[in-house]
Amino acid sequence: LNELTKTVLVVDDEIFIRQSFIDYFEDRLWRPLEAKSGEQALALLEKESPHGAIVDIRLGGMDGDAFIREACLKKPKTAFVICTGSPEYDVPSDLLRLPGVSEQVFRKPVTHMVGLEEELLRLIADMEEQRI
Amino acid sequence: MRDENKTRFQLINELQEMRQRLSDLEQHNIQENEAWKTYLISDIRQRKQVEKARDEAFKIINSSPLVVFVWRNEEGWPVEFVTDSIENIFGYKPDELLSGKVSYDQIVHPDDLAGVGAEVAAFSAEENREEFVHEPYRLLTKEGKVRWIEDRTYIRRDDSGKITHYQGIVLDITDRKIAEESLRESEEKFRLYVEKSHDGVIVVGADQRFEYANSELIRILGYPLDEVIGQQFSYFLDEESKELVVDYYIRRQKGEEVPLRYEFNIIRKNGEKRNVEIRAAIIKDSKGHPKTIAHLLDITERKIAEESLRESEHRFRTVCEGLPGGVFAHDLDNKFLMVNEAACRNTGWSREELLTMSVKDIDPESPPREDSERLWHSLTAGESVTIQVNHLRKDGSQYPAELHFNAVTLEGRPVILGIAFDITERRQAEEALQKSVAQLQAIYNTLPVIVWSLDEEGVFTLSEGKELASAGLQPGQTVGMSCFELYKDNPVIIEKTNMALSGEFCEYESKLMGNIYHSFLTPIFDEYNAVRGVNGLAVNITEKRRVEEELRHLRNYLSNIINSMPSVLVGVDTDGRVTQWNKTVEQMTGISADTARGQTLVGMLPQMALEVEIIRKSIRTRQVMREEKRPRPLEDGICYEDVTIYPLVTNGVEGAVIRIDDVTERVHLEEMMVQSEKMLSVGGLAAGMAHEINNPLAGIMQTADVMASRLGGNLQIPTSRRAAEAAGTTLIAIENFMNARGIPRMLDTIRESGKRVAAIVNNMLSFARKVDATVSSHAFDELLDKTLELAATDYDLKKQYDFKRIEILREYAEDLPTVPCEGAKIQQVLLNILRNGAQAMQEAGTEIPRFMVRTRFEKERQMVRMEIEDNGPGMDEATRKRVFEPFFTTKPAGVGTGLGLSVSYFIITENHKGEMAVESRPGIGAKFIIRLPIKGEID
Repeated sequence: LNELTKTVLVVDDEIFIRQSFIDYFEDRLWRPLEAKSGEQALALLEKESPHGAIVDIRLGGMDGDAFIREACLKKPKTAFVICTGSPEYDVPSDLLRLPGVSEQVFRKPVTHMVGLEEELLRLIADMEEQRI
Repeated sequence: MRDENKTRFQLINELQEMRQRLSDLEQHNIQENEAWKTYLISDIRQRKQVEKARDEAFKIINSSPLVVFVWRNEEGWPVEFVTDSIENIFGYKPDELLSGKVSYDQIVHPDDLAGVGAEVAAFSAEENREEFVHEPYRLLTKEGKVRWIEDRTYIRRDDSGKITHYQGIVLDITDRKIAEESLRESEEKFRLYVEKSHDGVIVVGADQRFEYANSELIRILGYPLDEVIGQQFSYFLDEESKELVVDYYIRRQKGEEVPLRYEFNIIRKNGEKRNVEIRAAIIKDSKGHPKTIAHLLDITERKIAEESLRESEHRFRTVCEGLPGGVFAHDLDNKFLMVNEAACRNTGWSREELLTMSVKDIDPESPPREDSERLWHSLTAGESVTIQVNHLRKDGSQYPAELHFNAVTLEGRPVILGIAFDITERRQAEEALQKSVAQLQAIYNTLPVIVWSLDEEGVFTLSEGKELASAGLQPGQTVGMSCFELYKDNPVIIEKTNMALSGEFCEYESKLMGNIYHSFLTPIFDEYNAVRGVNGLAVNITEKRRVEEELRHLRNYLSNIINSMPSVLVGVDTDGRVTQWNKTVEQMTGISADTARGQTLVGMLPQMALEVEIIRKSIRTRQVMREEKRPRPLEDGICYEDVTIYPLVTNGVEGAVIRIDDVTERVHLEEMMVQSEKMLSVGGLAAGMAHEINNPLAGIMQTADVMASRLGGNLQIPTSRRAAEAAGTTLIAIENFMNARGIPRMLDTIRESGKRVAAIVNNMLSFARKVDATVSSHAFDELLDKTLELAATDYDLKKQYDFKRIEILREYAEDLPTVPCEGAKIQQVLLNILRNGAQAMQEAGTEIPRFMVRTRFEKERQMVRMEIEDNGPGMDEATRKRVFEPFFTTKPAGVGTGLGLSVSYFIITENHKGEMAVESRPGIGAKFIIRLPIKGEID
């Protein structure tokens, strides 16, 4: 069972949002990890290697983009999906070039959680292929 | 001879003489014949004596114009005997005839031969005829000359009475014939002379009876000829004349001296008395009897004429007396014969004194006598002579006189009639006139005019004025020239000059040497109202015309400017009356400029009632007054006007110009811009707020999502099952409980409400969201088709309406250029419009809902136009005006956000620099029009 279980890191400074993702992914039998900032998440990545991460952009401290840049260096096989409440946000081109970063940005509120999960799974599957 | 010939007097003696001579000759001839006859029948015994006598006789015959013939009564009358005298007279020797070489009929003139033969035959045929005489006929001499002859022929018969011979004498009467002929001719001449004489001619015998009277005399007397001839002349005289005329006649007959010519009266047969003049003379007839021959002339008319002449002379004197001028009639010796009262008055001499004087006495410089004769002749030849002289008065002073001469005959004498007018006053007047002419000349030589005069022939008699120089003429240069000749190429001048010469005042404009002249022609009339010429005055109006032209041009130009201004421009004077009214205000009010001019401003533009005071103030203070965006209610809304009042201060023309601009459009635009600004600021705000809203919203919605899935019974989540068991219940029981309590519905409410918040935030963000710069060329028809497709799928999502029920009609232009634009955004706009229209049609229950979509290329504006027209309920004007306002909606609360069309408007006008408009009529439908420039201009 453990082998089948995937790990997802939720990075968001808003506890209710973070919690709603954790609750969802728990129910979907994922192993959720959480961090309320980029820095905390980077520290967590020292011990953990999640299959994917859901990253908010506007965070206290370093922003989501900066986190993804550093996280990619530490864990290049991780899949990243950006989920932001800022309507005018566009994915910076340097991040788009990274294979683990989804070009699809999910806006808050995420009304179709299944869609987000599917994108994450698709991306993880891509990374697994690369890993093999 | 005929009767009338007997009375011809003048040649009567001669004629008588001739006749006498002829008769003498005839007498002689007959005596000769008698002698010859005697000889023929004398006894042989007396031969010697007889022969002697015969020789004598032949001698006589041969020396006379007589030829004796004996002819045989045979063909050609051969001659048996002829006297030698034939040779003298006819040139033939006797032998030539006697030998039969020449027969008698050969010497008879061929023209007379037949007549002679006939006479011979006729006389011969008479019984007992012994002798006969031929009519004189012609014989030809041997040289062929014609001689006239008379003859006497005796018939000789034999015993049986048969004619054997003719014997006779032939007398050459050629000379007589010639004499008779010339007599006849002269008689003829005399007869003609007397008969045709204009005088009556009479011959009166010694017994005082008329022997001859010509036709004129018959005419004078009025009696027929037969009552005149033989009548005593005193019979025709009136009683008074008888004594005198008879006395003169008797004395003349006696050879006493009586007047050659005198007058008396006769009484015509009709009793009329005529005055006659007679000239009489004594002639003697061939017998030496004295006769009176007289010429008679009816002078009754002449007498009357003489009488009237006397009368006219009398009248002439009377007229002369009454003349205002001094009349000095003098003979050719210059002696005064007649003077009138005025002559005495002017000279100071009495009539008696003047009549003893001569011309020299009052005019010492007058010409001598010979000149008077010459003067008289030239006057009678029809010349008119007028001279000016100085006449001497009795007191030694002088006065200037103008003398008019006439030639008259007074009492049969040549007389020169001088009429002298004292011209002292005229001289003075002339001098004054000359002075004033000089003044006038000085005036018109300094005035910018041309002054001229023409005589009745159109010849210049005057041409002056400073302005002549502009026509290229010197003063007086045209004098003596014909206007018609000079200006023959200028029909206006010719025509008008002719009019003026026919007595009409006229004026005209003409061009000369590049100048324009305004000319006035005034006919000059003499005292008989006949045109004697024309006075002309011309003013050079070239400059005036040029200025007028410029002015007109300028005025046109200005009025064009004023009229082409889109602003209302109204000029008013200080009394508030309209002086200027341009086309725009004409169109606005429907009142023409002609009608408006002079009317009060308030009367013409009632909305200006409040401005009257401001206008006055503006004029008074010379300040420009401006009122902007003044609202004015119209039937269908409000229009806004900028009113500007400009005071007029130039040229002392006080007043003001009111300019009114309809700025409704601008006001609307400004409002629209404000709206855009508002939207932009909303957008800016939204961008910041969206994040803040989205985050809690995410918390709400995502949590609600998870909640729903955890509580949902159909999803077996092991954790949930374990938690239910731990709580001593089952998921089924929980689900039942929740369904019983409506929890899933509540969760749905949370989710749906959250979705709406998200949509609002999302729409608000459209104002702020940066363009994704995905501008590319799009074909509008393709965009429309795609959008229509999209709209059709909307059915499934919303279920509120069935888009597929709607009929779509497409009218796409074929030559439509592509337009650079953001396809997605344009689609958003189109979709918005289609959705709104579809919803409106559905709500209104439009039976056959229909969209008409059209595209068109507006070449002039280089824009592509799209129309989406529905046949739905449409909208009223108030709605139509607000339809692009943000948050304006007609949908029931909770159905629409009121942002759709305002966002569309923003996308089209701001992002794409296009135009968006809506047209609508309630109950008919709405039509949205979108225009985009084909040269994309996108922020």
